[in-house]
Amino acid sequence: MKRNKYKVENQYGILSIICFALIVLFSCDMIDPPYKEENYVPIESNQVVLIEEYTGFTCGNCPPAAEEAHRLKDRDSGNVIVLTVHAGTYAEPSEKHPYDFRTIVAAELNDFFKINKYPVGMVNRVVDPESGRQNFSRSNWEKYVNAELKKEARLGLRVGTQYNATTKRIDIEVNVEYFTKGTKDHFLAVYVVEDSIVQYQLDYRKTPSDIYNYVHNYVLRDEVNGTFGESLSNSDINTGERFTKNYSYVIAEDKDWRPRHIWILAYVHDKGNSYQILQSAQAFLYPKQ
Amino acid sequence: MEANKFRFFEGKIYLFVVLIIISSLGLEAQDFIESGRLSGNFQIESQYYFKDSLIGSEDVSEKIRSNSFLNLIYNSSNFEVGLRYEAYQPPLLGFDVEYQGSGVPYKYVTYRSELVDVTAGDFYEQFGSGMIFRSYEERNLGIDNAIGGFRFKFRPFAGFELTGLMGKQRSFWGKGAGIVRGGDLNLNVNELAEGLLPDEFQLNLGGSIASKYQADEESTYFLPENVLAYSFRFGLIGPSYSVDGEYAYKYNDPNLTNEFSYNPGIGLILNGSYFQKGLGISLNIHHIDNMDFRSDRNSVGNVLNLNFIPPLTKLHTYRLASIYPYGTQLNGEAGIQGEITYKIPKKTSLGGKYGTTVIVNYSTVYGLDTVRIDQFTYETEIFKFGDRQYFRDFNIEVSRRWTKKFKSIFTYLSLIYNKDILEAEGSAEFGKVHADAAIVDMTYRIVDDHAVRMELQHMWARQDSTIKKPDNINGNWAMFLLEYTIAPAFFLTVIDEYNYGNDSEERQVHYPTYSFAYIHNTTRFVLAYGRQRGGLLCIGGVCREVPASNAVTFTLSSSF
Repeated sequence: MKRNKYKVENQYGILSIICFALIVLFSCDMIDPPYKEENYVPIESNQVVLIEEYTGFTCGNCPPAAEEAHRLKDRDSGNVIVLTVHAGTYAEPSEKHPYDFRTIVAAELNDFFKINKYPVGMVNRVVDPESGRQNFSRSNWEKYVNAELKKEARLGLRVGTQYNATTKRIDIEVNVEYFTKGTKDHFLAVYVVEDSIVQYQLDYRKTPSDIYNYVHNYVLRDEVNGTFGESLSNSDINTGERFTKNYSYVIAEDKDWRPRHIWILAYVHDKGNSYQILQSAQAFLYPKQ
Repeated sequence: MEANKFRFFEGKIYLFVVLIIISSLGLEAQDFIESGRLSGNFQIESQYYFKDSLIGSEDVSEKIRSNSFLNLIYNSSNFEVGLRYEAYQPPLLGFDVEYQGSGVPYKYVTYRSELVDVTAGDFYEQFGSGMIFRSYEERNLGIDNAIGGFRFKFRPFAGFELTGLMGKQRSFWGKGAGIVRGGDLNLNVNELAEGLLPDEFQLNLGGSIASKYQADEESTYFLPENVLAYSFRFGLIGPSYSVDGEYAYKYNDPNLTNEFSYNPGIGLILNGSYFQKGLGISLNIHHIDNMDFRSDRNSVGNVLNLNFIPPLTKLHTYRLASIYPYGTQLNGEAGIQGEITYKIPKKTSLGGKYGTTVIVNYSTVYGLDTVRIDQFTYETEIFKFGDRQYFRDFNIEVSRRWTKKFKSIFTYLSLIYNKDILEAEGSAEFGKVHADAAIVDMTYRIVDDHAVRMELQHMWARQDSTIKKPDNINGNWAMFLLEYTIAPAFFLTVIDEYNYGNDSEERQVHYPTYSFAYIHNTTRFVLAYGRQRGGLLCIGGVCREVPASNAVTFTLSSSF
């Protein structure tokens, strides 16, 4: 196929150069120091965001993720709750490290949400609309936390606890008030969580990488009313509707848990919408000092 | 379920749009359908799993898992329309569970002429060696980072090709967060300026740019939303030698894999070779610094990579030789590789009746010598080797045909594999693995269409540190393979790998595999049963971790 070579050359040659120049000029941002943003303005919100971090004590890459979760919790104090779920290969105890963080509820969550990489986290279990993903690496969390905090809460949630040190019984009361309409797919789940557990952790950033006095926080210990909780209502929920749910949980004799570091997590999630979490709340057994 | 419905619906819309475009270009849809040619290929791979606690294979609740695909390509006139249907129900062990599902993730229409190619939809592309941009599919590793968008290739005159593209990368069943833009100019100097170079020389020059956009949606760092990389390359082939090279530069690209370093990325690859009858010598060097380039700064693993840099080491294919594979450390390494191939002439005392080929290969890779300035930046120089050796490989291969019916390949290799770098992010966990292997591969043709092949392999391996956590890889290995071929259709293979030197006695286990393959024209059927050892599987220097399994595998593939 013959064509007028030279005319084509001139027209398209210039066009090519313009295209290149445009892309080069407009496709690069150079950042000068300082690289770190210092002036964070907290987002005012009535929404509490739950970060579920999937981890394991033999996961050498996991401590930075735990630090990021902790940073976000501190940053928006009171509006972010962290739950650490120990599951999968990296949570398996060994002869050398026999302490077992694993629980049935953690394994069920891990399997249900198809977690097979560690560390990853879910932020209110939101699903990224473009990738369809529900769990993300740590540097993604802040983006989703910010987005969730900007949302208007659909319901209010409050947890109250009473602990009997003699019987090791925890009485839990959860109050729910709907600010918008809800559905019968809204489930309330209640978990037992413990902070400040000093145990082994592998940390690839450290030399040596074996950390024997690592402080494990926000560790999921057990469920109170099932892995995914129970339905709040058998029918659709009206705006202004309130629910009060009472539970009791007895800490088993063989558990080494320390009540002063235990807290109760309650969250409402929408089973009809990828189990996304609508609201969360927490309450310690003893007032925090 | 909903997602699958949507994908199917999306596919129908796509076909409709394609037909409208074709009609609007003056080509009757009827002609398009009648004058075209349909081609494609498919593969079904299914595995039935058995629990095997001895090798640490997990209990698979579904028992059967399967990866399947069908490619359809329709060509008519200047148009090509294609799609790929994929189904992972659920994905085979070792593949990311994010693949679970089925649908049509890959679909495109291309218009081709002498002057221009235009593709709308999904496509793969590579600029130069791939140092700043390579979009590709490696099915066995579960990698597919196709670009979904628009691409043109423009050839206004011979020897000049300009490529431009824009789109988003595939990430399992969705798209990544970043927008990718790129351009590449490839110049064939021989065609551009006829007579400039003598006929026996061929010179190619090129330059590329690739950039990505991703919004900064966090409050920790001031992040560049647009990150640009560029590269220049050349390639000269002469009558008895060739030299080629590529230099790449990437502007500040703080991301999760480089721990949010604001350093620029620099890559330099230089290759040279000399060849004459019976002799070939090659030398390759490369310097890679902060060149992990992804369309999503938060992605890790083999996900949403924008570039690909092949390892500067020999890619071993024998089973034991590939237990300790190397993959380029994109955050920083410098290495050198040399190889000499010599064919000892036939009918000499050393070369024998048919000649003997000897290949000697050596490569070594080190970390870069860096000086940290602050938390975000460091200094280094090109080809400034650090103290830490990442990998070293010395190997020699001798191939010889002894008689008309019998030939053999002998391989010896000696590796140093820095397990801390390659498997523990550089943490002092394991130290280095020192492995030596001897391999004999013999083929005997019994009659014209019957042949038997045998491999005997042995690897001696020791690790610097004590084994802290038991694994199914460490220690010495022996391997035996026997393959009987009735050409061209039947293949029977028995393999046994034996980790007899494992530090833990109970893990000193056999990994047998029995397989039967039938090939008829383009159709291949394989039935196999065996234990698959866990570990790293690398193809072309890209690796993924494969869990151990005990399974019956069924594979059917064909093309048409």
